[in-house]
Amino acid sequence: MAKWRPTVISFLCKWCAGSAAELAGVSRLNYPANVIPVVVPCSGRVSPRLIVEALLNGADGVLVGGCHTPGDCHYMSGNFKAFKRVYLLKKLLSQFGINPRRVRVEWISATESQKLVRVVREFLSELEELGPIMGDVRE
Amino acid sequence: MFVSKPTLAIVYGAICGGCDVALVNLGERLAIILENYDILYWPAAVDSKRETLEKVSSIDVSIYMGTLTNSEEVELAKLVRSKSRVLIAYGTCAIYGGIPGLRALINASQTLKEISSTTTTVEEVRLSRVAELPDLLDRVKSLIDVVEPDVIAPGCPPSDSVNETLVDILVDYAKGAKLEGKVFIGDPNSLCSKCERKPPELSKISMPGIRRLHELKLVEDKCFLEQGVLCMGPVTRATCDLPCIKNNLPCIGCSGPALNVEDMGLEMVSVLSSILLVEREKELLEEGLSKELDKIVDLIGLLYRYTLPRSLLIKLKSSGGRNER
Repeated sequence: MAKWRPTVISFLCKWCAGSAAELAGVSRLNYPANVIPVVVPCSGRVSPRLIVEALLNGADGVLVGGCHTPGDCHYMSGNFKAFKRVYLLKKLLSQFGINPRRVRVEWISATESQKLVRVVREFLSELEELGPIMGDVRE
Repeated sequence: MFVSKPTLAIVYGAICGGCDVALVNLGERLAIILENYDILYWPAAVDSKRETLEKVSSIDVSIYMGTLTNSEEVELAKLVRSKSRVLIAYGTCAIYGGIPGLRALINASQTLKEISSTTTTVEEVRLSRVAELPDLLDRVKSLIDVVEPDVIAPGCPPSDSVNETLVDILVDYAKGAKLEGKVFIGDPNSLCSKCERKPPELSKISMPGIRRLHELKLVEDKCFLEQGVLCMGPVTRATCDLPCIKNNLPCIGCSGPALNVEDMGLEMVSVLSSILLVEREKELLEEGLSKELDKIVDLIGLLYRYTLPRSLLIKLKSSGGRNER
């Protein structure tokens, strides 16, 4: 049987993390294909509902990528909104008995394609350790 | 038109009795119901057994109150659905799970273990082996999870205005009017739309931090969120007559989610993130913000007090991430 590999949905903001993903592509940096990038206008737009829907529909982890705090956000403070949303959602997840490490928020600027690749690899190996989300919920 | 008086059955799941009291509180209006209907089954008022429900070929109107916590309640719900022309889900428990729905977090055996052998009870309780008890469900359900009702009357308990509308529907129905589709009683908008404390510009609300009620002197006509008190108003359906707000207490979300809000908790997380300390974000940074957010002690108790069984995270727990919705 093939080794189990986690599926990750990543919501990347158009201005920073999304551009970093573009740059990673243009610079031909390698990273695993089981990360599905979704580029959104701003990380602050990613509602907790969107993250939970991703988990409900088969993702084992969700990555939210935004601009560096405090001053990089194209819309002034969207990254802080994203931080608060993810922070509260993580607390909520752990109260429900779902590992909060399955959701992660990272600040990645448009030039940091190397960081994006590193974060993705790190996150995937962490999820491989945690196993499928089924394991969390069947306890 | 009905040849004889139409029949009415009032059926319970796990209830506290508040819904019953709300019905009885109708006073004179209750007499109008009694004039128009024959009460077939209502444990609090008439002497009838479950056999009565099983024997009749059909029931005109049934009102279901309470959460579904064991196999008997599920059977009863299915029974009244199959026999009733109109089924009314009455009260938040029947619709979203309510307070008994908080058990959705743990399964049947954990629940029995908790009540019989932990320090929450003083003596060890031995469950009766003599009587045959219905099986506890592993996951608490709301009526809507099991059957489809025709009329939905939210509230914990439903407010006077909801009851007024319900009586009107019942009386019209007894006189031969037809129900048009599914009826959801009450204002579907969020509680803020009715709230007198709301500031002129809703988009400019900013929370100065998170305060508990005893930590501040409340200004009586100012928005709770603007004073730092957690209020579920933004995501709650405005079916009540705002008794809490009028008595200087924040909304706790007993009427369930407003129109277009599927999951109260997640939506409220979004609301809080958008308004908490918006002016001081760049000064506090992630560390300061998380410190403030940590002041919310019990997130589930705050966000899902009345709607836990129907939350997306409970769905995630029971489906294991393989969408069964």
